[in-house]
Amino acid sequence: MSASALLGAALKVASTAVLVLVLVDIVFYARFPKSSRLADSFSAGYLNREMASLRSRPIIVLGDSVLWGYGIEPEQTALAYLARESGSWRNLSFAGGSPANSYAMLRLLTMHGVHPVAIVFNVNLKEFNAADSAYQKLYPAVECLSWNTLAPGERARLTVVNRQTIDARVNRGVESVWQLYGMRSEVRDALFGEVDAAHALQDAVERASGTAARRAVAHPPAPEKFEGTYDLSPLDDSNVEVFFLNRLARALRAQGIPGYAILTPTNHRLLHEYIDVPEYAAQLGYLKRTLLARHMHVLDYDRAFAPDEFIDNDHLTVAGNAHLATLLERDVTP
Amino acid sequence: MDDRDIVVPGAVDVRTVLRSDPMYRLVGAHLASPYVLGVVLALLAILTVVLGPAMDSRFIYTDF
Repeated sequence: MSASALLGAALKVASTAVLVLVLVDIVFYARFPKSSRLADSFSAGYLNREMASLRSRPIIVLGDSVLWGYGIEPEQTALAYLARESGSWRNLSFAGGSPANSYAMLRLLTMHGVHPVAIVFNVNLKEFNAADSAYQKLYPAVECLSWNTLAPGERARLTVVNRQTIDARVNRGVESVWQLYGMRSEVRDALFGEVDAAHALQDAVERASGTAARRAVAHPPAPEKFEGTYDLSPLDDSNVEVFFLNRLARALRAQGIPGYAILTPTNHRLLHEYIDVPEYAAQLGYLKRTLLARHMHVLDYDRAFAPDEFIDNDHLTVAGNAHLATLLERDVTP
Repeated sequence: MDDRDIVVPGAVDVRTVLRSDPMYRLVGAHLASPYVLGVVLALLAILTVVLGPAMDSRFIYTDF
């Protein structure tokens, strides 16, 4: 075979492969199912798609795993219930959320031209602890999309999460043009219910052998597990999450969007030893005053839930979520 | 067959064996082969993405 014939064949192979990938990508992007909450672990491409699909004038919920619905099915969360009741609710909270993330998400919403009728966000005291793994950080996908929308002074307060090496940049470049690759974590999650096929197989083996059930019984939530979760030293603007909470409230006020701040439901029976002290009340009082001074509506749910409505320190059971839905339905009236 | 081939009486030509394989008809046809190969490559790429291991964890937080 001559060189030109070989080159022609190679071109045919390459163009056919690219054409198939493009066609699959178009169908995938249009048909990938939507859920009542964000994926467990989501990518920048996925978040962009969610933002682009937002209807006009929704009630947007921003926050952490408490509002996302850790430990329960997507359709059992308070926000899924509210969305079924009134289509205007949209849950954009995620595990690892924080005031800094909520602020960055607001910037993204603004960038996408979304004008919510109200923003509901939760304020969880544990996220103001500098030892918390989410402190001073944006979720990788949120950082990727919102970084350029932040002011230099805001960026300076944050620790960069996404790697800036050449291979990481090339990877992000490929992700930006190939949707299936960019959303691979969501595809694997949708197909296997896990981060990848290997973990799904491991889960199946552990379930079949009874290892998973034995582990759950051996590690029930105990107070000692949460020692150090809350840093009860006095809060001020030097705390990065206080800084971003102020930025969030100020931005909402500037844009004329009503803001509803939920003081996160907390399991006081489980955490009694650590948080039923004046320092905890002082922190809560400080945040409440800060939010009220910025014209936010404060929904104090800190002690609004019974111990049996919690899975652990702050995540709610299905019954707890039903209770939360009734409270939000009553209190959020934009 | 060219003049470098050694002819052994009674031996089966290897080309005859290979061309009798069903796969040869699929990928050996002059017009279809580059396109079939392109589709196979694309499917391999998709399968690699879907079935590949999670190398980067976006879930970096111990929120609970």
